[in-house]
Amino acid sequence: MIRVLVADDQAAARTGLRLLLDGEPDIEVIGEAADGHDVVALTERRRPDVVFTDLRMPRMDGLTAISRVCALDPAPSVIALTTFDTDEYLFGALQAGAVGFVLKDSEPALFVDAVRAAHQGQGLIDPQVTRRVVRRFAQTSPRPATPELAELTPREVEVLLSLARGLSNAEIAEELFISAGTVKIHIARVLAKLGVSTRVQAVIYAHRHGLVTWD
Amino acid sequence: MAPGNRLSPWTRDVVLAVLVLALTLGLPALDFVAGVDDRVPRDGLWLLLAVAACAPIALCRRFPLSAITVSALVTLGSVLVGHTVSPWPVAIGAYLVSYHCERRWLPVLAAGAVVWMLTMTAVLSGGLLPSNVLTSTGFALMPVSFGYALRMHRDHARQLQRLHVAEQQRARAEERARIARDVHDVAGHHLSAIRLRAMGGRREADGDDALRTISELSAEALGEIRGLIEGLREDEPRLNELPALVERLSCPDLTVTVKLDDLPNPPEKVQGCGYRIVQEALTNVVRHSSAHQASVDVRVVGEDLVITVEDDGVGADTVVEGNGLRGMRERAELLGGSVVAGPRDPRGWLVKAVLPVKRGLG
Repeated sequence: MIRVLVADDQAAARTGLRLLLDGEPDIEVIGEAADGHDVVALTERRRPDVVFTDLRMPRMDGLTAISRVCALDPAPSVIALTTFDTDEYLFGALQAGAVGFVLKDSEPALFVDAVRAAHQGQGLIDPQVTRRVVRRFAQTSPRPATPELAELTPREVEVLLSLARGLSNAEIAEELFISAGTVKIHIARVLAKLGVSTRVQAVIYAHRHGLVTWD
Repeated sequence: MAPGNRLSPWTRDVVLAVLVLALTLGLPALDFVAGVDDRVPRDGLWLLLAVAACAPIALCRRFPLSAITVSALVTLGSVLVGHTVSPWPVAIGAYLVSYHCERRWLPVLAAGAVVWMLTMTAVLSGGLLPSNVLTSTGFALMPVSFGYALRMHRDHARQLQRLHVAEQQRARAEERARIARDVHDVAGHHLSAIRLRAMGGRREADGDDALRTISELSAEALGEIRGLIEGLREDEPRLNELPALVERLSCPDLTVTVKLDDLPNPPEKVQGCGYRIVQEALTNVVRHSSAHQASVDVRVVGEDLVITVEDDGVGADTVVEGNGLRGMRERAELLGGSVVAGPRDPRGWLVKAVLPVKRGLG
C-alpha cells in the first residue's frame, strides 16, 4: 500500500484528490494538509511514502514545505501539484527536492502514475513541461570537464575549488595550511594549465564544468 | 510636424546665417548714416570676408568646431589685412557651437574663444594691458556660457520628458502584473479546485456532493471574476476632473492653465470624450514639444462643446501626427464631432475639438 499525504488550501481540491487516489487499490490517502505547516507537521507524525502537495498555499507555501520535508530523515518522495507552470514553480519545486511535477489540468491517470512512480523511487514530470525542463538542463547544466583539468595536481584542484567559492589568497592559505606565496604559485599554475589569463576566468571554468555544485 | 517649427533645422540655420550677414553688413551703414568714416574700405574683398565669416554659421550644427574656427580665422584675417569685419558672426557662432557641439569639446571651445579674443584685442590695440586680458577673457566666455546655459536647460527638459515616459511605462507594467496576479488567484485557483473535485467525483457512486461543491465553487469564482472586471472597468472621467489632470502633467518646466466655462453638465459620453482628447493633447505637449506654457479652454458655443488645447512649443523635431491624433479624431467622430490640429500663430501647436452636445446623447 502506498501511503499518501495530499495538500491543497481548498477543501474541494483535497476531497477530489483523496477520492481520486483512494479509488486505486494500491494507494491509501493517510492525511490532508491545508498549508505548508500542516504538510511538515503531518509528514513528521504520519510518515507518508509520498507527499502530493499544491505549491500556492497560505502561511507556508509549497516550495518551503517541500524543502523542509525533503530535509527529514527518512524523507518522503514529493510530487508538486500546481495550476500554473511558471519557472518559479517548476524549477523551484525541483530545486526544493520534488521528484514529480504535475499540472492540475492533466489527466487523472497521470496523477496516479506520478504517485506510483515516486513510490518506486522514480520521478515523473508532467509531459506538458518536460520539454522545458530538458531545454533548461541542456542550456544551463555543467559541461564535461576538458582534458586540461586532468593535468591539475590534487592540490591545484583544491586551490581552484576554494577560488571558485570566492575565497581570497589569504583565506585559501589559511584553509589549506600553506603560505600565501604558495597559493599564488598554485593559482599561476592553474591558470597556465587551464589556458586562461585571469582568476575570474578560472572560476567560470570551475562553475561551467560542474566542479562546484549547489549542494 | 513639430509644434511651432515648420522649418527644417537646416533651413533655420541658413536663415540665421543670412540674418547675421545682414547685421554684419548693416552695422557699418549705421556709422555711414551718422557721417562717421571708420576708414575700412568697403570693397569686394571686404564683402567676400564678411560672407566668409557668416557662412559657417549655417554649419554650426553639423560641423561645430570647424565652422567656428573658419569664422574666427576669417575675422582675424580681415583685421590683419585692414578690412575689419565685425566680431558678431564669431560671437553668435560661439553661442551656437556651445549649444550644439559634443560636451567634450566645450573646454576646447572656451579656450579657443579666449585665445581668439586676446589675439583680436592685441592686434586691434597694438598690445595687451592686464585689464585688456581680463576684459577680453570675460567677453570671450560670454556667448559660450550663454550657449551652455541654454544647453543645460534643454538637457534638463529632455531628461524630465524621459522620466515622465518611463514613469508611465512603469505604471502600465505594474498594472499588467496586478491583473495577471488577480487572474491567477481568482480564476486559476477556483478552476483547479473545481477540476480536482470533479476528477475525484468520478469515483463516487453518488455524485451529488461533487456536483454541489462544484456548483458552489463556480458561483464563487464567477462572483470574484465579476468583482475583478468591475475593478478594471474605468469610470468615464468627467470634465471637472481636468484641473487634477493638468496638475499631474505640469512640471517645473511646463505651466498648464485650464479654463472651464460654466458648463450645463453635458452628457457623460461627451464629458469622457472631451477629457480623453485633452489628456491626449497634453500628453503630446509633454512628450513632443518643448513648450513652457500650455492652456486648456473648454466652453459651450451654441449646441457644441468646444475644447481648445494650445501650447507655445518650440524646437522639437519629432512628429506628433500619428496614433494620438487619429485616436482623438475617432473619439470625436463617434459622437458626430471633429478635431483639428495644427501649428498655431505665432508659434506652438493648437488642437481644437468640437463635440455636439445634443447629438452626443444618441
